[in-house]
Amino acid sequence: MATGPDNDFTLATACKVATGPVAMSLRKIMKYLFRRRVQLALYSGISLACLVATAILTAQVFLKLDEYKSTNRDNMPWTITQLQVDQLKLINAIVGPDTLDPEKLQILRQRFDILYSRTQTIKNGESYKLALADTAAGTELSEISETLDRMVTIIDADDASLIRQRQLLLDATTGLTDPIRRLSAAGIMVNARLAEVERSFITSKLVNLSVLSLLMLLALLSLMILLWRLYHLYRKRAFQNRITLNRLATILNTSQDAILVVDATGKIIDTNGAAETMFALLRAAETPVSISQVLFSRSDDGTNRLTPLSAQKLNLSCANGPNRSTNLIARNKTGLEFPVELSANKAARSGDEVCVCFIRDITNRLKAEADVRSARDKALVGERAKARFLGMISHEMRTPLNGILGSLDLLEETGLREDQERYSKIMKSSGQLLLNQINDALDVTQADAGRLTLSHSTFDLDDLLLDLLHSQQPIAAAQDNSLTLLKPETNGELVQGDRDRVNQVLLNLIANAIKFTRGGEIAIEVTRLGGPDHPTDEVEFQISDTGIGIAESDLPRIFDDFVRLTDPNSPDIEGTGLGLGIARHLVSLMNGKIGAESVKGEGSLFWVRIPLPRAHSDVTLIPDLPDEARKADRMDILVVEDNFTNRQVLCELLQKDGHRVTLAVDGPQGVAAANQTRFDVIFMDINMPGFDGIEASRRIRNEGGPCAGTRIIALTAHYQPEHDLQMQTAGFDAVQSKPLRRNVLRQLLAGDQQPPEPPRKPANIDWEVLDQLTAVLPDRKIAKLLDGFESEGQGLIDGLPSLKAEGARQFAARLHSFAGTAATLGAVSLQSMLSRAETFVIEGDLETADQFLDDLPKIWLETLQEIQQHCLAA
Amino acid sequence: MVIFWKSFLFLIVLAISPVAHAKDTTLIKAPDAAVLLTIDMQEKDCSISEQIRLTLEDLKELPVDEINTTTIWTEGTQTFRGVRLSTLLTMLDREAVDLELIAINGYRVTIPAADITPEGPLLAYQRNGKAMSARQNGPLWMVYDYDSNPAFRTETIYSRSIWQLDRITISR
Repeated sequence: MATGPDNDFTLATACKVATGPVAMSLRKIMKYLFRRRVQLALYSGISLACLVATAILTAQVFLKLDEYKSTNRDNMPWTITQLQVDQLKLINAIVGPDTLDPEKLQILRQRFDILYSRTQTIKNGESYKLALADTAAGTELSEISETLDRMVTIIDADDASLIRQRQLLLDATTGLTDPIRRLSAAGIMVNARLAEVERSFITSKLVNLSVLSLLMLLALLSLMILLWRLYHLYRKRAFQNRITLNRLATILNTSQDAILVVDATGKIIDTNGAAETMFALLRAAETPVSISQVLFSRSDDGTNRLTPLSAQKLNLSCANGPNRSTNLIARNKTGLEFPVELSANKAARSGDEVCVCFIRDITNRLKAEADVRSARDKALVGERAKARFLGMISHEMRTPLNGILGSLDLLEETGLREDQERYSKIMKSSGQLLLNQINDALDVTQADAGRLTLSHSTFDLDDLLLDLLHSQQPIAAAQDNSLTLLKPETNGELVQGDRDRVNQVLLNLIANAIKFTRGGEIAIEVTRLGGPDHPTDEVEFQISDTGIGIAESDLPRIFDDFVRLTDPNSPDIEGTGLGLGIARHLVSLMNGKIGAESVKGEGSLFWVRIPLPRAHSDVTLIPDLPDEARKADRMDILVVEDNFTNRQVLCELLQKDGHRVTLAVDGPQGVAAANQTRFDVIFMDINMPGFDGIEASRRIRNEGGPCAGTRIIALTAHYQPEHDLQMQTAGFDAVQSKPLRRNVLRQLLAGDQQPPEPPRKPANIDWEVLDQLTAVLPDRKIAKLLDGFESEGQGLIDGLPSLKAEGARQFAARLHSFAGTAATLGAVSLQSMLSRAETFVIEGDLETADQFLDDLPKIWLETLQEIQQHCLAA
Repeated sequence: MVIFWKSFLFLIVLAISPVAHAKDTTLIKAPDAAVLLTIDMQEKDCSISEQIRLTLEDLKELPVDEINTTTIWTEGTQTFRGVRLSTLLTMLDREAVDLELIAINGYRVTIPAADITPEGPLLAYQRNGKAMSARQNGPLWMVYDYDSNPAFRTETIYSRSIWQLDRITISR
């Protein structure tokens, strides 16, 4: 072969030198294909040319052969030789007889005739003429013919004359010998020439034919080799294709998903094994099944009606690439229905498009999902039960603690010896610790249940910080730590937020820092973010220590609940591991952020950022009154409490402050006492036998007895927000969780301020302010003031939509003005709401402002009604 | 049909006429110049069992056929008139294997009886409307219709185209 493997090699080498490997391989393939095609064309061309040439040659040979079948040539040499024989025979006939035997003469004449006729034949016969043309034979023939013609007269004469002229006849006949010999020689020459021409023609034709045949054979052989190679190549490819196809078929048939090939009309034209099983189809011997017979979509309107999936819908769904859909129902031949998931895509199949559908039976998956869901629900129910249990336990623990701590308060008043006082203090701090831990546990439970709530108020941040510093410094000092506070020089910064939650967070962090530091330094650093020029709402607290630090790997989980890092170097650290977890919960509740940085062995830094917007300075803060001042207001107090200890402790605490106390052990007794006597304050336990505190309070309020208007303070061991509404409707003025401490009790009794814990619905009106006003001002001025208040408020409410349009400045000014009026009259909810709305308006956050103002008409009406009722009562 | 019967009866008469037996070997025995063709019937033992002599008139009595053809021995198209050898054989109604044809000039050729077909050789006694003399290859010339079929233009056929024919030996 002209293009063998050697050629391949050189080509490939040339390519390699010329270009990179990728281009090389590409080019190589191209060349390979190209060359193969050229080879094919070349060999085919050669074969064809050879074929044509051979055909022409063969046709020539066949024509020649056909020619050979017939001839127009006589056996010339024989004829000419026969001429000689005829001549000799004539001579014999002339010489022979001497007599006049007529029979012999007859023979003579016959011999002449024979010679004559043969000569005539040679002379006139077409084949002879053709063969002897251009030779000397012509003259010889003429000579012979002329001699014979002359002899005719003698032959045709009578017998006597013939005998007489016998010698003449003999001479003439003998004279023919030379011409006949020459003619014979010419005939032989002609014959030889003709034979040679014929032979050379045949030989050349045969040689040509052989060469061409050989050439054709070679070309065909090349073509055959080429085809053989191609055959091998394609066989290999076909084999690979078959392997691939087999593999694909195996994959498809092994697939647990049913695979349907659907044509444009929705007819199922191919399936895999899984599909046959799933739909109970038979591959052959059945009328074609349509996709709408096996797949249905469930309608979304809740009726679960099944609509057959039309071919059009299927084609439409996968018009733009693969499509996956659930919420389909398949129905097999036996009528069984089951949920399926469908993945469909289009594929071109020999010209027309088909849709390939993968269908998965999701019965088990849906069942598993349902199982998981129900398991989760069960777990949640269990979790809630545990949380309730923890709440109950804490209640059970807090009640006796209430007794212990309350009794200790009382014990301290009895004039103890120095050592007794020390023991008492230890007991008190231990009790406090226990209480804190119970509170922590409760907080976590509530945080987990999403029940932690915030109670917003305005407070002095500096005050809070100083309190913290002073209370924690002795504890820090006990571990040889110094505790310092670094803060910008502000004079009593008032902020809005939940003072107690902020306090709790900081306390947890500081306590934590103290706990893990020995003989080091702890610093509290406070800054309002944004700097002094552009202060933001966020305040950042940083608590740094020089303690043992936290390993970097532990940092991410220190804020998780119940996490206690075990450190072999400090095995004496105690705690529940709840502090930081609670801090995290509280901070995120306040929309803040918390984080920590630490270097193991060098110390830690905890930072907290909490939104604490600055409050307006005209907000009235109720200062803590000194003990003596509180003591001065003596009151008649009813305590409704089923627990003996609590009842006794509360009674003692109140009596110590000089109040008159009446005790009731359950709801009915309390209601009865309240209906008999007018009390200044009623402490009402919530959980009691008979009917509970909520019911009792409702009765006191509704039965119109002397205590219908008395302040009722609810006492609860475990505060739950869902009670909140009930308590409001029951008419509680405050809700206080047990145990009650003397300070808290004094604050509660001192006035209508919000109790420090847990939140309650703020009273609409600070009656003290209004009462003060009525005491100082004459009646008509009060009336005028109230009229002005009413018209300003109504005007604001009516004009709200237009005010909003007037711009933030105008709007804020109106809100500020009305807030001032409200503050003057002691309408605290109104004033608080307006102030907040104003703050947000100034900041441009109209959406939040609107949220606050949504309740404005309601609170406005309430406030107005309450003031009117109050005035009427007065 | 009438002609056929007439010819047939004539041949029967011919057959029973007394003839000299072929023991006599001379070619031309009888001076009877009218006899154109002598037919010898040769038995398997080479003996001549019968001799039939035909004159020109006898031959003309037989069904006439005509051929227009060129030959390699003449110039231009010739019209030959005569009787088909196959017809003659049928008339004779003799079982034949080979036919040996002999000319005046001593030329002889053997034709298998199987080769004598109705389209085959014609025993011509006229050429171009005239009787043929010995000088014109006559008086009997066996010709084929050479132009009609290439198969008649072979050396074998040319060798069988005997002229100056005067004797046929039919061997059984």
